[in-house]
Amino acid sequence: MSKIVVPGQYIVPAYKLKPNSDKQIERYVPGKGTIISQIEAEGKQIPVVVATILGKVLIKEIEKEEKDDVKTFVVVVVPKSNSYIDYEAEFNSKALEAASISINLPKENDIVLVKITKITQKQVNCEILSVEGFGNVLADGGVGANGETAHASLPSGGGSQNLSSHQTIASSQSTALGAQTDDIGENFKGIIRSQDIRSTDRDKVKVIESYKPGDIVRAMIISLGDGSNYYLSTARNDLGVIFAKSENGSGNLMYPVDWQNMIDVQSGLVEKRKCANPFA
Amino acid sequence: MSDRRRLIGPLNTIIPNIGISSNATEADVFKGPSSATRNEDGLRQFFLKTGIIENANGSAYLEVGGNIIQVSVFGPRPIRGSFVDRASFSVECKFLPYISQPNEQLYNNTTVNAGSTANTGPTNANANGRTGLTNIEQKISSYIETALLPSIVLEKYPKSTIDIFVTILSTESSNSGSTKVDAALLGISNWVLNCSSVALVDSGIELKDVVTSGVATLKNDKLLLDPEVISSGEDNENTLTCVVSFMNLRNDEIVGFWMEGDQSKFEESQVEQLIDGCNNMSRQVRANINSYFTSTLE
Repeated sequence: MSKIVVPGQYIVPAYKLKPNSDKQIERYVPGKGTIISQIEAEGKQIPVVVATILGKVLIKEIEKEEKDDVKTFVVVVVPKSNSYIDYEAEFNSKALEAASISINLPKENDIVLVKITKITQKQVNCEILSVEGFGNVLADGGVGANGETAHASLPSGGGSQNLSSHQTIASSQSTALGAQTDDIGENFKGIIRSQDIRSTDRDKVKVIESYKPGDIVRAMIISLGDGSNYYLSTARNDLGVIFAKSENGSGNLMYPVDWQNMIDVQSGLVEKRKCANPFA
Repeated sequence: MSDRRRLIGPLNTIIPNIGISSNATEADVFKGPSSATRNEDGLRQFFLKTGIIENANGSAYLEVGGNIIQVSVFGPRPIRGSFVDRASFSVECKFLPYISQPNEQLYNNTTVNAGSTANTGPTNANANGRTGLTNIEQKISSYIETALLPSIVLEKYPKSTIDIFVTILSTESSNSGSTKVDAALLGISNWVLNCSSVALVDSGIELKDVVTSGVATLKNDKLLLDPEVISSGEDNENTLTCVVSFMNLRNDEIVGFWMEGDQSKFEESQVEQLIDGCNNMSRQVRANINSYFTSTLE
């Protein structure tokens, strides 16, 4: 029984009596893809769980330790399938609920996969490619196709930069002052500071012996950061380099030997990296 | 703004099939939209399709009467600069350069060539080379932005922008030389708004409700929903035309209101009549959009 809903559609009131009962109260809390809206009916404002995306409704009871008169249910809307959800669902039927919502911006404590773009002595710059358990941040995974480009008619500076309808009242409401879009095809960016690379001997970390540009790294979001960068950490055993190529990317794929060495089995080269052990 | 790192093709690049027979039959030739038939509810039929632009996050295409509209939604995309805890939202609406814009004599300071007919020849000053928006495009963009803004759950998307790009491929406006605002401008704004809402839903961005709108004309106390173009200037006497946008499932909240017409002699009751008319139309459009979306998931 999964009903299809469109944004704005009422799913269930936030509180209702169990059918055929005059005592048992059922409480519904909004999960992903839903919000609570105050809907007016018969002169009263009634809180109703409302869908915010197009998809199918899933209602699940939350099991509670203590017995109590109120049963609680969480309401989730699962978007129309995308390849990631299909893939996850093959292995794990619960993934459907977790992977709900088609757009997933990174949040604090999310595990993400990033690609290192630049290193300095103090920090590592990277691009966030995908959020673990949810899928790619941008639909194209950072390939660069996902952007408005060839509209020659765009005003200089781009269509979305403080917009051309800048003078209108509408834009000043919605476009935050100074909010400018990034270059096209660019992903959300992140920084791993040298003291966040590993959890021991933080003061002796050498960035060059931990990450190189091009490495694919598993990291955790520790802060939404400033306007330009998320702040990430790899100070955990399961976080660090997952894929790397030797000789600054010109060599072959390397395999981890221990937590700080990787080996290129074809050339025998051993390079230093802060490796992840995601299977621990 | 250009991508400094890569060369990327235009939106939905398609490689032409070179070598295909050039003996196009008559059926292959695009004849342009025909005048739409009206349903029993008084509205014109419209054609709607989503997901036509693959590399946009969401897109929609709409045909009604002589109007053809295409909307693409990009975002949430990252921003540069200082931290913002919510998404910024912007709308840009453009007519193709060779399309005559409704009421352009009035707003865009253009003159009409004698004998020019609808949708032929660039009538805008410097139509092809222009980079900014014309006044009319500005008006439409701003209306759409104001009306859609309350529906988007911006807090869900910190540090990002959501951008809507509207392209109007065809209009039913005529170059009557009229200096009165006719139904064409409000009519196209109405359908641009409906189409943009559909594109937003397609993008998967969280919405409190789907905004839909209606357009109505009150002429000599007769209410007409979804009016077609009134071409001659004289017909515009004693008319009021109005676009009103609603969140129909959120207590019919009005999120956008735009009225044009003879301002000297309208009364409150007339405005009420217009708003009710627009609400009826908005509900009907909404019902159609809902069933379209439901059918896409089945």
